Amino acid sequence: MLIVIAPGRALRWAPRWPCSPDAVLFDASSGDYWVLSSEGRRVLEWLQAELAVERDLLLSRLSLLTEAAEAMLASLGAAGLLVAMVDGVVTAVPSGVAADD
Amino acid sequence: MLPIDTVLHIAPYTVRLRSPLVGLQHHLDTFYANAPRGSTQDFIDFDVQVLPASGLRRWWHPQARFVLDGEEPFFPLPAEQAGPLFEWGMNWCVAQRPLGQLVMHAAVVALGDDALMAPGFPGAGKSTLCSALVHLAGWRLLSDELAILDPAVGALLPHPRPISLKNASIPVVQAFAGVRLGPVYRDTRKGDITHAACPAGSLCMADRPAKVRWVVFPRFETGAAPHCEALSRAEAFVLISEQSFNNERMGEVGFDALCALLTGAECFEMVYGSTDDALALVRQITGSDGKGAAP
Amino acid sequence: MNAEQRSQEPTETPEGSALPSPSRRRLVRGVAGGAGVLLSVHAKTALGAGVCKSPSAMMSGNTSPRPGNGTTCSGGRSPGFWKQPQKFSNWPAAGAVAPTFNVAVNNCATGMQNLTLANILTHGTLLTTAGFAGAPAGVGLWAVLAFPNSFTGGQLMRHLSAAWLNAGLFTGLSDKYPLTKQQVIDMWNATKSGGTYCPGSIVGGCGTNGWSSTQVINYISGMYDINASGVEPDLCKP
Repeated sequence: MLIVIAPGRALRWAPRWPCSPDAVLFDASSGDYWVLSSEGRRVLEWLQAELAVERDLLLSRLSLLTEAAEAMLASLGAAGLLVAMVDGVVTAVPSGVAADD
Repeated sequence: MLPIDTVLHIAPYTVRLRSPLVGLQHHLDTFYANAPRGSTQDFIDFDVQVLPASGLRRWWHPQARFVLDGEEPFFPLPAEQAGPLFEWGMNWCVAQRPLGQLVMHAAVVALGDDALMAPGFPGAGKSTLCSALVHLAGWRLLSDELAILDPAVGALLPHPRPISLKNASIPVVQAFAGVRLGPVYRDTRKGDITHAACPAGSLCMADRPAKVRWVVFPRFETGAAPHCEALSRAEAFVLISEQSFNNERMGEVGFDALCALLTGAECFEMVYGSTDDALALVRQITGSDGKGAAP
Repeated sequence: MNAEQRSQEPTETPEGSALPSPSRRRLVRGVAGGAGVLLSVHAKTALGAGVCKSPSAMMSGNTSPRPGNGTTCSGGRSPGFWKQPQKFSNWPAAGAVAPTFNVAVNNCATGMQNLTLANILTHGTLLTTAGFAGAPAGVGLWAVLAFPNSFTGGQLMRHLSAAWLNAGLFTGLSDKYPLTKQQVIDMWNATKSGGTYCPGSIVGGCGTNGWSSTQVINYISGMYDINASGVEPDLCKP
């Protein structure tokens, strides 16, 4: 299962403001915006650089317990930022133990 | 030929205003007597008419209607409220058709070219605070409602118009030395309202933009111990956006402009229970004594 | 409902805004450790909110000043208005037949009185009769106004039904709906299967700027209640 940034998004970051761990992310296509934690920011930056990453690999990169990492990816999906792709088919990012990848 | 047919320069816009309503003429005489006049040969940003209602409502409980470029964006008001209707209508014009600027819902005052922006959460006491800073502490008024950011210069453009005051703020501001209030309109949709004239000094500086150095979210609470707390810029971004973009989406130009504004500013929440406390907190935040430019 | 209470106020108090709450501020401060998304805000679109214009005027931007032509735009009433049994007296004037129900509906109460689709005795004007070709057979305007989620594509049908009724009711010079019934049908035909709508009056066509069904909905719903005060039946006195 690959994780990718949701299609159609044109994402822009606010500047890295000092004394502010949170990151503001803006979608120029829709006007939607999000405030992400530093971990959330890392995930988005990985995907912006690498375009598609295996879900298990993403989870392993995060310095969180597995359940927390899965929940975090799922929250990014629920917020409209990420989708999952299995055999080229787009689905929602799963929240718990994934079905067979 | 309508009794009122004039072109006003209300910085940074040029407004053509036509109306037969006597109440509106009084409002213009009170608040816009010194506004520069233009001619219909000038490029007109907003072509405004304040007209009587048609049909029965022209005579029975007469109403006034605000018409922009031949279209009527909202409900009529009683004809005696033509003055407030004009002010609300102008706010709508600027907010709905920004003409290349980013318009946010906030009060803006400045010392010299350093602006303090107070985003407009309802009930926060923004208008009273704005009046106090302008009339008691020497700040100049850019606007009591509309922060107009010119992305090209990264600064706010003055738009000095009367300050709108409601209900409990009226007696408070009435007591300020040097303030000039217009008539009080009772039982409007927002309760009792009046307007405080923009000081002449602010009008004189209407061509001087100001860069935002402080974003202050005021919170009036009766009896509160005064205190202020720094906010992160991310937090300020969300709060400003929430207040300003309810009816429209922020485009990419707006996003960049707002980010640049915040990068150059410090952000605070300020809680106070009296005008004196508010002025003291602003002095603390801005490091100014209110009598000159901030250090 | 008193028209004076439902004005479009241009200043302050955007709906739902309140003082920055402590819990909201904690979220944004990132105290909720481990969460990826602290806050998610979906923007409303800029289309039409608070402005009453024809589709072609909306699409063309229309920023140049021009003298009034004596006609004042009305944004019509919302589905929430049209679905109420208390407002059914407006349906004939709009060129429609209201539904009837198998339970008594008290004209002097507010709200829907717990009506459901099962309570429909006669459907009133059907979607297909109104001109919405391809809409579910045997389904009336009221059903989609009141229960859009019971039908595929229900939201589009709901707002277009309101627009169709508005086009029939708001025809005066001082409160004229900016769409004709035919234009409402044109919007339906263009967008019902995922296509885009372009008004015929746009010279050269719309190119990539045609409206999707979402944009049609936003345009229509952005106008509701603008200058639409004249039709309140005064059924009940307090």
